[in-house]
Amino acid sequence: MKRVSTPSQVTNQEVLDLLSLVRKVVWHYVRRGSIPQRESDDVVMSIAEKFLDRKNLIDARFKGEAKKTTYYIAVMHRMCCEVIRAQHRNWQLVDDSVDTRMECMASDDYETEKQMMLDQEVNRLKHLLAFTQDDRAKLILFFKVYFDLQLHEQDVQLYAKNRTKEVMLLLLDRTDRSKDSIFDRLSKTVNVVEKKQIKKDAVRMWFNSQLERLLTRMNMHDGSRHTKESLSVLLEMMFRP
Amino acid sequence: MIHLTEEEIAQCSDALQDGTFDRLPKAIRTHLAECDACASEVSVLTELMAVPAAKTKHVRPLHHYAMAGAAALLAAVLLFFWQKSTTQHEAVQWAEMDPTVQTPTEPIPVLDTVQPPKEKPVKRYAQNVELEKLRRNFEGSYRSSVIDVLTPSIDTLRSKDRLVWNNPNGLPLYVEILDHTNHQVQWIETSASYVDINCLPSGLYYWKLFNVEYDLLYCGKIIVQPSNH
Repeated sequence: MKRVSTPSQVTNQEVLDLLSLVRKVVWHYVRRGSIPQRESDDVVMSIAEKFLDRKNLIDARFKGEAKKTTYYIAVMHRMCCEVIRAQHRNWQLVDDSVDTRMECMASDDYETEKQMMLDQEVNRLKHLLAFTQDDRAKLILFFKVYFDLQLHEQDVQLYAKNRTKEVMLLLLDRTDRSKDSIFDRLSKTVNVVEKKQIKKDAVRMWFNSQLERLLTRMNMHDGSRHTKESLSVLLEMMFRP
Repeated sequence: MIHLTEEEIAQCSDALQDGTFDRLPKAIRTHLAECDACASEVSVLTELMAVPAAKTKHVRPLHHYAMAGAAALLAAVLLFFWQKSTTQHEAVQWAEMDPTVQTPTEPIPVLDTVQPPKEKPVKRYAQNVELEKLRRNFEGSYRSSVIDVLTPSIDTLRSKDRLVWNNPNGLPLYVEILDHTNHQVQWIETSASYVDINCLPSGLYYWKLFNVEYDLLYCGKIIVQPSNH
């Protein structure tokens, strides 16, 4: 394992603090299996070394718009992603006889770790839904209808505004639970609220593109492999009272 | 598409944590709605920030690393003496049982003298990344069912020592010794179950074992200690 060479102006305490931040970033990916546990110390050291080498430049670019710790972690996170991209193939050449993720988890309380990861995924989903801006209320309502989750009047109200009662009647009619029927009711909802004349196929295409985009974002950075099914479970957990 | 800077990503993450996302500049919010990469990055960063320090591995202060290093060195020295006695003991036992093994009285392949490298002592022990990966691939496993290597994957030797494996059928084998810069130091042919290493200058070496088809059977690491140790 390499030792971190420190620029003279960085104190020992600062190095320790930075190492702690780097380790936080690296272990996020170790837990998710993107970085093998056996490589974690080397990855931590290489990121720390690179960060310290460029610290003056990194500090110079900081404008004070964000908290400095968050900014440092954002920089370290990009460095970590670079290492993963560069080394991923090499790491895969070594066939671990033990599942390091399980080994890592077994050292702590397995159930706590599992719950923590689930909570993290739910929170990530919550954040990603927040980015949908103007479509947020519409998308959440559509998810609830599509995945057959409990519907509250407030969910409808955020999207339908003064047409809430009308839309509630449309959406609470669950006699036919086929996807075809669901998209039919959703298209009627859109037509009522947005005063449009669109067909269920158009709604289906819009909804599927939103779903795909959300899955892409969920799976983009940390080796997650979410599907429509796992997303429905996360949504259920997210909306659980 | 121009992505958000690290600071803008951090700014979004802070806003999500503080519940002030809607107060972010419109341009940033619009970008997040359109850009999958930045949106995903913000979501990961926000979760990273939320992980308490206690949930990550404990970071030891640097002086602890120094102490750990000293302890590891001591353990390595102890392991060296233990492994050497075990390996030699096993080799002798096996030789007594198998008549195909060369006894010490038979001619032993000996490596030629190598000129000492003109490097600083510390550099001679630098690891070679590629060879290190190769060695790890063979660690604890043997590709060939015919040849079992008895010398440990990482072996600490003195200037005169022996690499040992199991070759009951006396198959022709090739041993290549490489220095830490991946340059060949020696190439030797043998059908015995060992080669003697003589006069290797102190430093880090890797060795490869090939069969007659030049299939790589094993890759190991040799640390040759200075003779005054």
